[in-house]
Amino acid sequence: MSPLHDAQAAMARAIIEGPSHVPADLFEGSGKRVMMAFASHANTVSHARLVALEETFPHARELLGEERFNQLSRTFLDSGQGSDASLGDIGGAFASWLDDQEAGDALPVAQFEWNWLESYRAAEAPALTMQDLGQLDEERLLATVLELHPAARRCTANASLTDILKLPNTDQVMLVRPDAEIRILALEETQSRTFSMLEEKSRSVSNLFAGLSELMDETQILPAIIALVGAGAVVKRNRDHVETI
Amino acid sequence: MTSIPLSSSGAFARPLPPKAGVGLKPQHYSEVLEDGGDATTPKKLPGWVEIHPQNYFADGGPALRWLTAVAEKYPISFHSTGISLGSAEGPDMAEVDRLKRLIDRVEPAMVSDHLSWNQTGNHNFPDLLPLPYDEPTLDHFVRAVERVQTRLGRTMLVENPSRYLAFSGDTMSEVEFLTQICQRTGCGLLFDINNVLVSATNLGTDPAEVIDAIDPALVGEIHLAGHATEDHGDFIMAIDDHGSAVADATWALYERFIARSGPKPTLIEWDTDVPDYSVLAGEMAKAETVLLQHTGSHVAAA
Repeated sequence: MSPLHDAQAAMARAIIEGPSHVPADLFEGSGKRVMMAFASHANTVSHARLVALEETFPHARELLGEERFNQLSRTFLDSGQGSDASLGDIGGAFASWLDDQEAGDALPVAQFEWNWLESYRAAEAPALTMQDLGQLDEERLLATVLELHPAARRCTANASLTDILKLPNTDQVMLVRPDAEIRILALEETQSRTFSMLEEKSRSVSNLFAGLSELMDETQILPAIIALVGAGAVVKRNRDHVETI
Repeated sequence: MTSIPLSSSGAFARPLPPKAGVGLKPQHYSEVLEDGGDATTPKKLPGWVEIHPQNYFADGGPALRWLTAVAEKYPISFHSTGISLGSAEGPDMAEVDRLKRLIDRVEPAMVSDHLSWNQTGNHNFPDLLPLPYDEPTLDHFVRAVERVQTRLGRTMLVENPSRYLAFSGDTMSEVEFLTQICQRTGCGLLFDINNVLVSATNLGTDPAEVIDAIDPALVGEIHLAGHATEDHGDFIMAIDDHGSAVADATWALYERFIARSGPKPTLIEWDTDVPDYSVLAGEMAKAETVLLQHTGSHVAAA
């Protein structure tokens, strides 16, 4: 360990556990000045993380109330969760951590908000369209390999979330971003099962039909696929794909 | 004394002009992309813009599209906050790789980070933490800058920090430390004049001495920002919060430096309680006034 490493470890401890942990001989100036300086650094760190959580979860915060959200945020940070994450990624750790807390109706809302941010940052990709599929003969259509668009996400929904999104009541919602902006749609059960199969792995249309036929009535399969394609949730995978069943 | 190289990558196709720029915030995207108003209500547009690249680390999406649109209109400076150049474990090279991907996409005129550290062990602090000014730390920091510049394939600027405390083991001044870094790595200096005032207030030193000791040839960009102060009875602590207008004392130090250096690209930084664009435009206009007063009396080094 170098002296620089020792100094940084001591400063980290002082920020996390309090300025009384600063080695007495590390800095010039009075003890009060050192205390205030480290209080300022600790405040900057804490404030930046709290603001990042507030900005990532505005609706969950409103639903929980400022006091409860602040309490949960501080408990999350005080337990050391997310301390290795950047401000841009700390919300992912918080959304996972909330799973084990008593967040009530706000849990699906928070998890939706994190999924929204993931979708917002996801890679661009040309979404498959019904027009694309319509140009294929049956053989080529069945061999076409489908996978989820990089920005497609699915979340559990509750009444609080559908109220916020102004959607009809549903158990699942899907986020897609085939163009510039994110679109949010209610998912029916057959569509959700189709999403699951594509989430699991890329599949040819024929394989997807075969898999879905074990999960739903055959008359429901095509409408479910069409719904996902029409929403922009699916892309066509290149032909180098090797399918495993 | 080494002058700052403009570029080692050819990416400085549009160098930062020696004008006033602004730290770009999402709420001002539309205003900086619109025209400059009309004859009766002209709008002050920035000469260039700066962004925090970490806010645009994404595989795709709207934020990158905004950034691309802004880059088509303005020279851009990337002001990174996450490389942790001064970490004892070395810089965060995964962060450098993310930065490189964005640089390749947008080709900014300048890339900078800080004379500070923010990572140790499993901790990633959203703050700019101070380093001791001694020979081993200087050697360590120089190696870090060289490593990052090699990975980026270009030179960078390093910003002088705002300090709340001096290390008891400091063996050289901040100016000496920064000058050595620039001379040994070929990097330049992002000279934050508000930070000079904040550090001087906290450490009881003379800010004018720092202003007069910095070699203008090293300076590729200047930052101006506001700060807060706390009265602790027996001392005043200045907090570098970027949440208010540039202080009069900072303007005076800026004018003192520009009188010696000639015009330099100058950024108005305002990161907390961000005001309407018109307020930032007013601050830019003040900086432009200073820059214009000293245009032509020096060889512009931008």
